[in-house]
Amino acid sequence: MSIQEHLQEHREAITAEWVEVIYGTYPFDTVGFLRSQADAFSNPVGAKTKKAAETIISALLAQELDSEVVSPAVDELIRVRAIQKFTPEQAMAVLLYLKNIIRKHCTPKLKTTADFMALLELESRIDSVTLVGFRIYSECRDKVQQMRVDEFKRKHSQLLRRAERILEKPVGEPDNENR
Amino acid sequence: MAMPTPEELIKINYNTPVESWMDTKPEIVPGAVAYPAKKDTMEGLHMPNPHTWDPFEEDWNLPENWEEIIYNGLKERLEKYRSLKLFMDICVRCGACADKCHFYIGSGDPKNMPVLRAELLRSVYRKDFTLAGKILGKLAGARKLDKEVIKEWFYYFYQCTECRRCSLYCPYGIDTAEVTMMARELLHELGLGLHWIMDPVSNCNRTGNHLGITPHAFKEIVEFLCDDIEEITGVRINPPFNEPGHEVLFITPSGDAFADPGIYTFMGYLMLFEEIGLDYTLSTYASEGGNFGLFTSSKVMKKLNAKMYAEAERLGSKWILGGECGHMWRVINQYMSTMNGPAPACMETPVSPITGTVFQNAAETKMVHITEFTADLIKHDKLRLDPSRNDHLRVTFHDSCNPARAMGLLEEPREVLKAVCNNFFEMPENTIREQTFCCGAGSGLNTDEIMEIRMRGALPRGNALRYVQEKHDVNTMACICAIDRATLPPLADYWAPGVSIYGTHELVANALVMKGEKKRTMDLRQEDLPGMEDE
Repeated sequence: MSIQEHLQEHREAITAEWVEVIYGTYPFDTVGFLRSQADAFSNPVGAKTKKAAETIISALLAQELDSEVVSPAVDELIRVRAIQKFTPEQAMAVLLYLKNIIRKHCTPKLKTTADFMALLELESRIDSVTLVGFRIYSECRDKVQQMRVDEFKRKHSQLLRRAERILEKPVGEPDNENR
Repeated sequence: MAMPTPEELIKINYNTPVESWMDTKPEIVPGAVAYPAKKDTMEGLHMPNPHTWDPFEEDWNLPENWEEIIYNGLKERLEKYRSLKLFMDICVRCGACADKCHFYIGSGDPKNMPVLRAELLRSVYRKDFTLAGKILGKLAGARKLDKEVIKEWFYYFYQCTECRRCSLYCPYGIDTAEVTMMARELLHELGLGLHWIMDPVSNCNRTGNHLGITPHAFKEIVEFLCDDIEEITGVRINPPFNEPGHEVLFITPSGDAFADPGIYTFMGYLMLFEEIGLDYTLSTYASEGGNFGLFTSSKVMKKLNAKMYAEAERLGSKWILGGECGHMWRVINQYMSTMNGPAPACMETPVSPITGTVFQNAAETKMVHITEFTADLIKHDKLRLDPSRNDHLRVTFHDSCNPARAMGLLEEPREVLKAVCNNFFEMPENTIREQTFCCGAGSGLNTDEIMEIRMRGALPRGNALRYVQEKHDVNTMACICAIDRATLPPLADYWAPGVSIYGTHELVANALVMKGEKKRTMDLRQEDLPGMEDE
């Protein structure tokens, strides 16, 4: 049995372990809630984590790593963590931690060079997923910053407009777009 | 130093925490709490113990007798409010509220469970005011007040938006918002408040509205909106300001006059009033429907609210029509008549001059919510509407916490929206109506330095919005609250990019066919109406 086939067989166990690890990054008193509340609208963090983990692991084990499948799933996971009380390293580390789980599941099966190559190939895929995560994390952080600026403009839109009428010239950038 | 591995970074600990919740302390770092109110602002408002302090410093410069102040403050409030005493005593910690808070759901911080947040105050109450707590101490859930407790209060009671979703699930009906209100009052006794709350309070106290806009500027700004209306519809509106002798006084949150996208809602009000020929006046004095006193103390709330009746009396108005706002309606519906009532003698139970409907529900306050008023107009077929002008919008509705839970305004906005939009879709059942999720930044938390905290609180609402966006291509979320109009745009930007936020009366005015109007080619935002552009 190839490493891929072996991991396919263990897919559910790997997913469950990974989800537990991600839940484990939250305070002890919250893990039970994340684990047990099945309604996606009552427990969005739990639901998003589960869905993202399933999608990412399936994509990693597929013939080809499809970015159109992976990116939205990584987004589900990282968008949440980017605004929670995690340092950037903590927010991102959950993606890399998947390597540990996968290694644990396939180490006893590693016999040939081909097996090792297959594992290394899979780990490279996890690196790619992590890089996608890094892009999404950065985009989220930029977005939060942009939201601060946009909010200020919206809050004072009419005052800026009045100032422009008094000064008879635009304040800052053209007003048209945001009015 | 060795670099941490991924497993060290995520620090998973499967053991029960050794420390009790009483011993874990929040980390107060930039981004974790909002900026403090300025000493000058607090002095101007005659707030107790104004002082300069920095939440990120160890010492918050509390007054010397701060323990006595808290003890006396709590004692006074327990005697004054039977409800507070009850809320302190009857909670059995069943946990029904625990996972209902948007901040808990979005952050996973156990102290954001409403039961535990209230326990922060309750533990101090037990220590000082219950026999069991005095004797048994920690065993009876009591703890001694220290400066760390004050910091914890400041941290967590400003991570509650007083939305009252948790109260809905409490078998005892404990109003957690009132617990937060009391804790904030106690913090104010020590001179601790938020800049983003106290600055609007101070402005409101001085000029009548949150931004501190003076009457002539207010009038000018409303006139800009009238210019825009004329450009879009060809109809010129000249709304009366401060004119005595009109039947109705119209009061709305000032955000509708000054901020995007609220201004389009304000234009909607003006167009509606013009079309039905309402006998009304605006006021530059009662130029704010919102009341940040609700987030400060009952004393400040009462003072800021007083201008509504005072202005109605001065102008001789029979009743007040109120704009789309959230917390404004909690103040009106639940506190106004006992704070500043009874209404002035010149006021009467509101009757719609167009349909003759008597608003018996407003017999006490003499104030009608505009969606009740408009829903009644629509029910009696008094408006000419062309909902196809909103056909490019696929609309969902966010129930604002206070109108939904504090006044039961659930059907009226939906009736209005369904009459003016052809594409309306509800978000999932456990996220709307009484169970609605907060925008994440009500009760004075709508400030940008805590944007991440707001986005955590916004996650449950954003998640439900994302769901209808994916399922029904929803691109518009309507609301009936000025704070929502400020807080939902970033919520949508982050959690459901591509969804725009509209006030309900903006959509009404888009659809409203006015007498003498020119062919509409633009919506109120002056964006082309698809299929109706100029040839």
